[in-house]
Order: sequence, then structure tokens, then C-alpha cells
Amino acid sequence: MKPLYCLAALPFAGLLSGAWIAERVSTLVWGMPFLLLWNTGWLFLSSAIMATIYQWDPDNRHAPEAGEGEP
Amino acid sequence: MNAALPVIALFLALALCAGVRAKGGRHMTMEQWTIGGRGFGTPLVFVLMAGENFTTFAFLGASGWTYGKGAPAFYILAYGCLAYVLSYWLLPCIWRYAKQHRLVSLPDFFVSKYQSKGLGILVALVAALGMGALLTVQLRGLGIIVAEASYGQISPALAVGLGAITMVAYVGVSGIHGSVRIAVFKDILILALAIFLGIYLPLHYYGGFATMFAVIDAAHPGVLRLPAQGLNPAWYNSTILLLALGYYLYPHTFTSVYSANSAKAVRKNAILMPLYQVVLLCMFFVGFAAIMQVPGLKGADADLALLRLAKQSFDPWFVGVIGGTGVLTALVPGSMILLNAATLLAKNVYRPGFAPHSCDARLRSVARRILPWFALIAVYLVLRGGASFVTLSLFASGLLTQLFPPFMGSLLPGAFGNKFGAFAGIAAGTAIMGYFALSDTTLAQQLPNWPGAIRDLNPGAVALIVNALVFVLVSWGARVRSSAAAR
Repeated sequence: MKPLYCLAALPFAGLLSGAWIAERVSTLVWGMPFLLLWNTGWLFLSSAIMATIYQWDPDNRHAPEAGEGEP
Repeated sequence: MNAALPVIALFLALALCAGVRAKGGRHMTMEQWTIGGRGFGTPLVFVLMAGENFTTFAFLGASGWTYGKGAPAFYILAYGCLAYVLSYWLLPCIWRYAKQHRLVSLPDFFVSKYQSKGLGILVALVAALGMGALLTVQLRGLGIIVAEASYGQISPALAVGLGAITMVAYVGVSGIHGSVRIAVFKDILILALAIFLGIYLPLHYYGGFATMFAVIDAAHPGVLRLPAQGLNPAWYNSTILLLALGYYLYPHTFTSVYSANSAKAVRKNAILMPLYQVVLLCMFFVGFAAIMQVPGLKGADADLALLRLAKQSFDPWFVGVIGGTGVLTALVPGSMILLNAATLLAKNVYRPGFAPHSCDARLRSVARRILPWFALIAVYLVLRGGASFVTLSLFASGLLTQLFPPFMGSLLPGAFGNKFGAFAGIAAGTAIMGYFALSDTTLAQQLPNWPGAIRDLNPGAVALIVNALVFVLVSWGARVRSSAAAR
């Protein structure tokens, strides 16, 4: 497995720890419910992480993909 | 008559017209009808998947659950996001295998991987049951939207009937092409509408987001946090994981992967899809805005929160636009569900069970004849009434996720699973799901003295764990037996 792929573990760690952290901070952070703010932040981070992986993944660099999936 | 009704009628008529005309001059083989001849690029795959995933559930359920339960609704943002991360690796695997083996349905995948038509029948039946529940959600949403947005002039029953007839008509003629055509309009509309409502309503009623949350927190302390019992962090995390794993096992989502023209087209979607979740964020804001403005909606009525608030805030013609968009959010996924249910019942139950040598044209005519019957059953279930959107959706996804262990087992290198394990695992998992659904009990009632971290787990997650264990043990047992017999 490519080391680059390990980045994808971050959204899991982030989104699955949200409930645990939310129990330990005040209800509202910057005027928003903490868990909502946290999850929204991770939406954007996840998209950025996937864009990074997509950009650097050699699998996406083969010019045309016509040959892919030929029996 | 008010201005809302003609606007909604126009939306429905345009959808029917666009859906039927989408056939174009294409010759409809089974492959063309169900998966668009594997010819869709990134934009169409995105539109299709967004169309399937941002449904009446997102429209009414997300705002309704926020209104009724508060913070637990945030699980909806999290599971989708994780599913999209996984999709980067899962979907290209599915796509490549489906293309190589010319698969058209979800059970086809299992039939081919495990070399068992019997397993295909079981998967098809589980899938049909799950899709029945999902179609019920869509049709019920459609009924509620039209009844509310027409200010009670059209009864939900009539609206459900009209919606079902529309779907059957354009799916019968154009198949997936009809759904895609309508999905394009729908995705643009709902994005614009959600952002507008999500920003306008909090500003209009509270003067700002921070004020809105401060007011809610003062009036309903605790609603912005996960509760300690019931929908607590254990429930929240188990639900997110369960739904993220099962996300692409929705049969209609699974086959929309088949419709892509390259692996790249599905990988790119892993970047785009999390951003589209902003629609859900806006729906949460609408649900929160409704808490103080339209109080008193209890139980399943919480699903009405968005429409009640809209009627209180806007002119009838704009309520009509919201209602019309709502109708589209039901039609697109509803039609994809119908299409896939008909395809898999014809191809994976009818053919192996009753007519092993039937040709493609014969199967397609059988599938077409199944369409109205499947729709009719869903209409009956809607009219019978019952649980809220989220409850029904959680049941359906809990059920469909039971296909995950054999699915994953078949993707791993050096596949250790076999058809016996897959069969036993799915049977065990669905039996547990069925028990919880039919007896209407929760894990907390069954195990009152266990710690909250276990007691409040999503029942689907418990079924999935049992399922995975049975899958591994029976697969291993069957292999030991067969190698002993060979010796």
C-alpha cells in the first residue's frame, strides 16, 4: 500500500472522535454547536485530503484509461 | 386554489416529460436500460450519486430530525463523508470487476464472486426488502410534500399515487436515462434552495446563527449536545461506522458505479461528494430555525418542520417551488430504486428460479412488468402509515449493510470466504435485524443491565458483528470439511 493512502485515516480519526471531544468542551464554540462545527470542518478537510491523494496518486496519471478493465 | 398547486403540477409534468423523452433514439438493452451502457463520465456519475443520496430523506428527514432530536442528527454529515473517503478505493474495484464480467445488478456481483446463483437469490431478496423500505420513504416524503405545499388541496394518498405512476412511466420507457435527466435539474435546484433557506431563515428569524443557537440552547438546554442515554456517543459512532460501510451497498448506488465510463470518473467523485454535503448542513440550520418558530410537532410529524416553516415565511408560489423541488428529490432516487428492484428481481430471482434460459429481451419485459407491482406494494406500505423517515432509513441501511462481510471478503486478496459462509452470515445478520424490527424492541430493552457503550449500539451494528463472525467461521468450517473430504 502506498504511504500516501495513510492520509485517508485522518477523516476517520477526526469524525469518530467528535462525539468524545464534544462531551468535554462547552456546548457552543464560536456560536455553533461544537459537533456541528467539527463535522463541517472535517467535510472540507476530507475533500482536501482526497484531492491531495487524487493529485499524487500515480494510478490517475496514466494518460487514457481505455485499457483499464479489459478482460 | 392558490399559486403553489400549479407550480408543483408544473414540476411533476416537466419531470414526466423530460424523463420519458430521455430515451432518445437508444435501443434499450438490459445494460442500456439499467446502467446506461456504462457510458457516463464524472459529471453524470456525480449527478446520479448526488441525486440518489440527497433525497427526501435529506430534504425532510435531516431538518426533521434536527428539529425533533437536535445534535444526534449530525451523524448524517459524518457517515457520508467517511463513505466518500472509502469510495476512492472501493468504487474502482467494483467498477473494474463489473465491467470485466458484464454485471448489471448488485446480486450479480455476489453470484459472480462466489459462483452461486442461490446466494444471488438471497442477496436479491434482502436487497428488495431494503429497497422496499427506501421506496416507502421516498413516496411518503412525496405525499407529505405535496399535501403540505398544496395547503391540503391534494391528499397525500393522491400525491403518492401520482408520484408512483410518474416514476413507473418514465422508468419503463427510459430506464436510468430518465433518472439522470431529471437528476441534473434537481441537483442544481436543491443546492440553490438549500443554501438560500439555510442562510435566510436563521438570519430572518434570529438575526444571525450565533443568536439562533444561543436562543435554542437557553430554551432547550441539552438539545445541542448528544444525550447520555439512548442516542449517545456509542450510538452515534456505531451508526456512523455502520452507515459508512453500508453506503455503497444500496443496490441503486452500487449499480450507478457500473454506469461510469472509467475508474477515474468514480475516483474524482470522492473529492466532490463531501463538499455537496453542505446541502445537509443547510438543512440542519432550517431544522434549528424551526424549533422556536413552529413548535409542537411531535414524533413523525417532526418531518413536517421544513414545510411548516416555509409556509409561515414565504408566498404560496415560492412554497410551490420548494414543494416542486421536494417532489424531484423523491422522484430521482425513487425511480432508481424501482429500476434496480425490477432488474434484480427479474435477473437474479426470476431467471435462476423460473426460467434459466430466458434471453435479455425476455428479462427486460419481465422487469418492466415487475415495476408497477413493486411500486404498488410501496404505495400500500405508505398508506398503512408508521415510522418516521430516519427510523425506516436506519432499518433499510442496517439490513443492506448485512451484505458487507461477503462483499469485503470477496475484495480482499486471497479470498478466504466462500458461498456457505456468505449465505450463513447474511442469513444470521438479517434474522437479527428482522427480530428487532418485528418485535419492535431495542438492544437497551434486551440488555437493561449492560453498560451504555454496548446497550445503545445501533442494532444493525450488532447484527453486522454477528454476521461477520458467522461468515468467517462457516467459511473456515466449510473449507476444512471440503479439504478433509478431498483427502
